[in-house]
Amino acid sequence: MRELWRSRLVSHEKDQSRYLSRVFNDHFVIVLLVLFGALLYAYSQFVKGVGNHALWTAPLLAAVLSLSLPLGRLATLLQRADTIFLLPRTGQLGGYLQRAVRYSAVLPFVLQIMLTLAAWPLMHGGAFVPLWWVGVQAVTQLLFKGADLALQFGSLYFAPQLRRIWRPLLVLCAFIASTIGFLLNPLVALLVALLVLALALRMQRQARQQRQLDLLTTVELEASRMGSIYRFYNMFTDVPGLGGGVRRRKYLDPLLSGIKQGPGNSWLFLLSRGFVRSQEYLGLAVRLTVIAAVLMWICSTWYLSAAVGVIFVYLLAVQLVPLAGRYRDVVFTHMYPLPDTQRVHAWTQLVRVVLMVSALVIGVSAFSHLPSVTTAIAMLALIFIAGVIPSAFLTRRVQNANK
Amino acid sequence: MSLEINQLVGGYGQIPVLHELSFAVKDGQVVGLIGLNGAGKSTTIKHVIGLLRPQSGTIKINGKTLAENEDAYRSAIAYVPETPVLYPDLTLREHLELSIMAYGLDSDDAWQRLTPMLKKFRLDNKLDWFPDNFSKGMQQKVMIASAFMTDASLYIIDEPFTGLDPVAVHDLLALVAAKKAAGASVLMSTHVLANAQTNADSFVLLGDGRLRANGTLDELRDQMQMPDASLDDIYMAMTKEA
Repeated sequence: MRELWRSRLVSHEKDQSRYLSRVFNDHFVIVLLVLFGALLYAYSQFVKGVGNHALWTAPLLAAVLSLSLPLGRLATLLQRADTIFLLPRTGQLGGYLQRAVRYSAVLPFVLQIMLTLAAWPLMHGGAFVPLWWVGVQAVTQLLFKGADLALQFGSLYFAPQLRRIWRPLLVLCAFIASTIGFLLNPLVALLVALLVLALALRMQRQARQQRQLDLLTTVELEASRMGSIYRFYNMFTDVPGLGGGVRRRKYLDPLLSGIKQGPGNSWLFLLSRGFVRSQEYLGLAVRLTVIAAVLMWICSTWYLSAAVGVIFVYLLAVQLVPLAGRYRDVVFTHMYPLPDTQRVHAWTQLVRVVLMVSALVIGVSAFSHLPSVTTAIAMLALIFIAGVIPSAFLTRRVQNANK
Repeated sequence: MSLEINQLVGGYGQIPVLHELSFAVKDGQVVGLIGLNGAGKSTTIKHVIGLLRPQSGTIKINGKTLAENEDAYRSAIAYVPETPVLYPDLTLREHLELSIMAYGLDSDDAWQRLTPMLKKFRLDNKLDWFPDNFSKGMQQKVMIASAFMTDASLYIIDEPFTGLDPVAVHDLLALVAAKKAAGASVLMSTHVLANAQTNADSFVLLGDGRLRANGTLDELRDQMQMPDASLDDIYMAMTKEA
């Protein structure tokens, strides 16, 4: 079982690094850095405005920290075929799953520490707090998360109530304990976390001693977990077997009927339908536009709104480059008597329209949050820039997309 | 002369698969391209349609190579692939409209040619469906309709009978005959030797990327000294000789 875990982990990490390298391409990293900077700035402004007797921050922080506890599901790396091939060894999977719990704790623990550090300025209503408060709260969060993982592990032994009832109760308990801790002393929350962890470990031990492993449910939970991860990756790259698929979307046909039929519009005819009907591209454009529009409400100045708007519009343009090569494997795209320049031109035309519409939505959101002449001018400039981006920056990548 | 292949050497990468291949398909002629699996039939076709570049030799359609006039070269070919290749995002109607646009055909003329074909293939009530979801045989019919609605001078059809019901096979052969009568050239790769014998004017037999035989059925019989032999017999004899 140790060997099985090791080989599964190696294969899993290889698989994940392949997708992550495509997700975290250089453009996305730049966008993330800018976003992170914008969020930090917005947060620092928020903290400055809080003062140092804002006791309402205690329950707010406690809510954020406790609601973060369920993030990070147990990664068992079991597969559907295991319900057949590992069935005779179900009783010996305990050691394998313990390794899985240890592996699953790493990222959530890092997240909890980072969130605790981020909460530092507001821990005691904005007043100064010593470093040991932060240390104690960080340990508290780790203990609560450990308890959460213990409940997840125990629930796999035909004890679904540990997952469905006790995990939400843990979140509630963490909220109450952390609120009291922030208001009075974090050692209170630490003590509660120790008791909760002890209780969770006891429940886990009892479940494992009294019942067998529910292999079917364990595999289903893992499939659901990996499905969420692959759906995130699918926003950035093709995941085999999880191709967004194609939807007819007849209600969008009026948008397409505006393209005049003629040899000069063959590629535009094709690409526009690929954009509208494929799950990847239209879904991606809508998601990025909505995220950017929501972010406009965090931006406190017109220039921050404009910067974030430009970044998102550029990110959307880059994510649409693969559309230009969508039909690379269809032999007829290489056989038609059409110049490749038509494909590039068609992509530019289509993406220009998409970006300008996206910029318009982002601009309306920004203006509604910060209504001023300067914001309006900035957003008009954003729409103009959106129209220029495809031809100014991405032509060469589009040319190569079909190779 | 529609298609002229002269001393073609070609393949994938640096390794040649085709060795000094030469044959022609004249106007108004149907040529059967025949050979064992791996003989080089599909590789030959890929060179003709421009997916592979010859290492040496020439391929001309209506007297021009691909390099000399790419648009004219490509406009002259209609292709039915062995395996249906479709756009996942387009309806059947849109597939046909795209072909009409790409080849610069007159839309009304093209739909006049298409309508009876679609009716014959029982696709006329499926124009707003996604062909990607059709059965293999129906997808093959989409490929055939898409190719035969054009007014190409060279039709290349690669294993066209696979997946077709007997009625559709009959209809396809009728389409081939009609194009032939109109003066087009047809290069048809097939393993169904009975159909080839009945419908092709001459045959090109390939083996290991080389031309084993080229000519009408009578010429092949003379070459093999097998009077009254069927194409199937000649083919088996040539295969044994190799």
